[in-house]
Amino acid sequence: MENNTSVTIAALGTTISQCPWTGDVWTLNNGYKTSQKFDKLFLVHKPPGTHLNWKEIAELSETVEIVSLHPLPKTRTTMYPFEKIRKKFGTDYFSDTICYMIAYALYLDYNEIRMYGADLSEEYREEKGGVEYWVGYARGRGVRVWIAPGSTLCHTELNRPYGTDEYERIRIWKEVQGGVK
Amino acid sequence: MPPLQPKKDPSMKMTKEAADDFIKWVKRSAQEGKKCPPRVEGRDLIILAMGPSRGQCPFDAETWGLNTTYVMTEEFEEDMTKLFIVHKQVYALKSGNPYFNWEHIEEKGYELITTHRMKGVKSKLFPMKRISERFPIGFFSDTITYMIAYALYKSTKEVDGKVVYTGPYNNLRLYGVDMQEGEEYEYEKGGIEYWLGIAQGLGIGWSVGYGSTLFDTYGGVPYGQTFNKGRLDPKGLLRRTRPPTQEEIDGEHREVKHNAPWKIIRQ
Repeated sequence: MENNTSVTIAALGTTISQCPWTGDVWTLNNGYKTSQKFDKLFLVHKPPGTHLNWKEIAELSETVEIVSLHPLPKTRTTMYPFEKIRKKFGTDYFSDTICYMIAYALYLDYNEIRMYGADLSEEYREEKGGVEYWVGYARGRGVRVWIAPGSTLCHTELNRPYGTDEYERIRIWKEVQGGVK
Repeated sequence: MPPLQPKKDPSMKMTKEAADDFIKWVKRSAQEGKKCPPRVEGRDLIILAMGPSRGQCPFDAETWGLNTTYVMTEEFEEDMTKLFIVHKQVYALKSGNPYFNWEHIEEKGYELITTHRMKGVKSKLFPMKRISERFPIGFFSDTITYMIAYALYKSTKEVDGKVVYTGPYNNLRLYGVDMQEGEEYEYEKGGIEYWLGIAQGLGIGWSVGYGSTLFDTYGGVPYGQTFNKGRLDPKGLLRRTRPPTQEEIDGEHREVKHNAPWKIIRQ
């Protein structure tokens, strides 16, 4: 069945500045502080995590839908359907909150996902592969996935296809500079 | 509507006529609103790389290798049909000896697929343009991504702007694709997971060898599940003092069954 719906995933990287803040917007963690508009807030951590203000989140839950992997005290939440999603898609490979968000969009049959701020730069490189897997899975299912220019997602380290002349030149140059081991 | 009957072919390779007939049939099925047309038959493909899990490869299906896997397959007296090399000649640091023996590769009759034209080397160029047209994001982070992309290209057709599985490869089995080393492979791992994600989305199954870090998170459990628990060894690997049992290996096995939405009924 054709379901012409689009969702915007608004994460916290720098490409968030390109976000038009229209349509369905989902954000995560402290994104509620910086988003101009959002319909869902995704949380996969639980108290007493220090990087989130749980009191503020509990207050926020009165007005905004909070989708959480764990039950949160004094907070109204929609529980993330982890088991259903795992069963439906046959995997539990979630390396980052954004993976959960993409999986949830697939679960709800959205046919377009627009990603802003999902930059997965250097410090997130252990988490990048999982997000790329879900992007690939979505694309394989025919879902359009648009990633904001500037994100490292679906780009190689040197931003060129591996093995090409240009890739090799950059790699050797960086090796000489001590940048690539 | 009579079921499509492709020409019988023991290698299961679909002829061009059969593929065209099949596409017409897919379109008709879609127009008639059929939700569950039967599924395409297919066969396994082994993608063999150089990591330790290569030792688990049973060589019981068509095998594609990369770089110098041909040395291993020859030692095992096993067959390999395609060899992917996306580098030009590489020379050993200490000895200065060339890494690839082009003459030997040609003599053994492997179908060599490269991304470069090299003087004096007989090879088939990787169809980058055609593959990038079918799968628009050309995210190639290492040689294995080229191999998976090629298998997907060979196993799909574009019908009304949508890519559908048409065979022959409905199950990609990866051995030796372990990505266990930090730094370099950490950057490359995501590309393989991306292409296997596309395969899975198309209904093509995959599996990875035991010990591979593919589809493993950094903490070994789904992100967020143990954020506050501080478990460093969720799989008990540090406490293990013996080789894994078969049950443990099966429990660790990561596999997705193929579930391509179309099938040709063979009679």
